[in-house]
Amino acid sequence: MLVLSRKRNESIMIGDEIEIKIVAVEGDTVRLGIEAPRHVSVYRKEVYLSIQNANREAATRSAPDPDELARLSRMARREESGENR
Amino acid sequence: MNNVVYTFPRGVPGFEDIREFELLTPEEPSPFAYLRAVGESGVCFLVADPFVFFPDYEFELGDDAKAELDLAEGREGDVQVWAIVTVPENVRETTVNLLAPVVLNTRSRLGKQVILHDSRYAVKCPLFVPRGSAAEPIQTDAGERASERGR
Repeated sequence: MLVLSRKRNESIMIGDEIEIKIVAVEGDTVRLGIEAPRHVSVYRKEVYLSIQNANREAATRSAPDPDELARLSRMARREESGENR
Repeated sequence: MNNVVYTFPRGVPGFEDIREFELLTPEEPSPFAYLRAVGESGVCFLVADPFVFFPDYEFELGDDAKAELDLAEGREGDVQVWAIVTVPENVRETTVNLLAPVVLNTRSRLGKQVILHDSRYAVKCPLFVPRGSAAEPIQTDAGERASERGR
């Protein structure tokens, strides 16, 4: 991994389109300003990892499951009619 | 089930290599559908219409998502939104991912699981209103319960 030292208001460029600027340093928190082309998605890594995990956990079947669908649909209908409450 | 194939140019988190999913919708009207990977991967998600369960659900698509979905300004009518459902052993504890909805462009047949920057929504929101077991029905005011959900 490339490691660079930067001061407040200094930037790094990734390629010629992405700029990451150190906006503020407060204790152990660093605030970054990110400028990137509109097609580049930017997110916190832990958020991306939590969605990866949730997706892996959600993919429990390999094909539509009619029993599961019927059961959840029943529960949703009951929910809507207030029977569950 | 009716099926329409969508291309996900970047896959979805955790399954980045899967580029084609088919949306399988039941014949009879349902708030649920399946999103199955085309091919041999054996990946199939249950998805729910988030607006049925969370009528106040809303978000704004970022420019990156609009570009990836080839969604022009004013063509919001081409958009379909689904939320991925996690069904645990106890079905009552079923959750939906409202932080990362699956957005489909029905015109260009492109799809993307969009990660919202809005932290109002969680990766695991309970789909059904929490309640006691069937053996111990809880007597609660229905209106109050409804207002508790998923905020």
